[in-house]
Amino acid sequence: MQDKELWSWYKSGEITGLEGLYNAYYMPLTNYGFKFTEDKSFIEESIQDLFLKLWRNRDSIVTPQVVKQYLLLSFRRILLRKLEYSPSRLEEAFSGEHVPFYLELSYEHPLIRAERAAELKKKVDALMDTLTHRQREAIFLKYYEDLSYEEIAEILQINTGGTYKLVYRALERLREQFGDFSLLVLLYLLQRR
Amino acid sequence: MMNKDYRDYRMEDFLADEYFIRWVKFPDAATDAFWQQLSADMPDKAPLMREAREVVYALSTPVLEKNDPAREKVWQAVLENIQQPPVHRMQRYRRPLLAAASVLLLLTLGAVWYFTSTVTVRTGYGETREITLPDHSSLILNAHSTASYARSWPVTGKREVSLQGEAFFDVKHTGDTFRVAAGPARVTVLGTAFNVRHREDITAVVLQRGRVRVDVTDGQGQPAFLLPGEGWTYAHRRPPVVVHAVDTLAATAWTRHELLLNATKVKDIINVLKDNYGYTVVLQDSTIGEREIKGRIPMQKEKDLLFVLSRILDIDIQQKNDTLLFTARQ
Repeated sequence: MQDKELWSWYKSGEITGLEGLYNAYYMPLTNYGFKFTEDKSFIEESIQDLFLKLWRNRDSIVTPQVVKQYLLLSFRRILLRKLEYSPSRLEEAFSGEHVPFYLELSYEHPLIRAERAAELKKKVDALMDTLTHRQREAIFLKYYEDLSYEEIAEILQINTGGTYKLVYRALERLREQFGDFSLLVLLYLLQRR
Repeated sequence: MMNKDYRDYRMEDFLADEYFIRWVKFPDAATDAFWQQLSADMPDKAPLMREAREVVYALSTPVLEKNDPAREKVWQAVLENIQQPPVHRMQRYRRPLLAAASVLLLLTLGAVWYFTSTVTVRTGYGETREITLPDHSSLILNAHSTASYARSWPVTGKREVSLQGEAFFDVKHTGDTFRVAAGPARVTVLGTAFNVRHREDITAVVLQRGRVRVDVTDGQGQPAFLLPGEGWTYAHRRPPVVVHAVDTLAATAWTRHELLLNATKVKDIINVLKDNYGYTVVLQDSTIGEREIKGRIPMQKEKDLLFVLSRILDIDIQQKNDTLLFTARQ
């Protein structure tokens, strides 16, 4: 609801609307960008380009159904072009596997010893490594950014059914690799305050 | 009928189920009632559901940096760039004369088209859409509805929308009047927020804020002036009625993708299923239609709505093409 209001302010030419959107989405966009690259300058440049473009084209940009998904999608496009992962050939666009995406789960906790934490992190990193880049990205967009399968499908340029399968296979994979999800649950319990 | 799916649910099925994820992350009364009931009905699945909840939480918390000093820096860079006008790259034409002629032709054709055509927005069954009008007023179009306006609006400044179905308008105050034509009714406003519904023989206007004037175009009776919280209803061949103290929250609940029921009869919900989703509903027992429901039902997806209805009413809902059969459970 707040997104929609900020968006309509911005559309009516209020810079405060754009600033509100910027403040709301700077962190999520940076966070998403870091999964593609560790080079922060690319991420900052892409965010700058995105908001500049939003402002300049505010009269022609159609109000999206979900502002968050629209911003993530546009940001992804700009960043990948900068990183030169943008698909030049159709087959690449289809699989999309050439775009790296790294997902790390949070593992820090004041009550846990550093070496135990390092050990856990190693295990979880190994767990995440068994997934493909696309599976990781779909998992991130689904659980962290709370997008629907339809919205993710648009970002990854595949159909909705394919997106569901991507997430499902990733979950299946995680379970197969580790027998069950207990390690993930342990992580969650550890970081609960 | 719907429980059958869940009997075979494995961990992955719960984890990938959007309704389940929604319950875990953003629980509300409806999702809570549904999943609690499910785990009561299927005690053998309850531990699995508990574990699935925790996994959803775990997957939802990747590393996130807090407070980033670059945030202010990048915004300043955006602001600086906004001050400078963008550099346009000019296209070079090899045959300037031909280019000029074709541009002229295009412009003429374009102008004719621009001033005679309309922009039309349609929604299908079960779909809602929000659009921003040329004057930055917003319009949320309910399912199975059509709104149209003149393409030349940005130039002429004539604020007029015609509507079939239902829409919620939030009108920018510009000093010029804004008109909505819906069947026999014409609503005239300055800046305000209101809901208009025109389905078959009934036209209804509910005012949330501001002030509107409603006229019947076939010249029946006096214009009505509505105050916030008032509604106006016109059924074919009967004099229009102004109703005081309308529940505006309930009248506009559809814009928030929910159905707000305040002792609402099931047969009125059936009308929603017909108007917005295109279903014909058959009641195996006509007393079902007279039952009343209170509460909030999510309408994000029609599946949710049918789910919750079957739960609350304790009925089975069977679907055959566009027909829904409501049967009381034994």
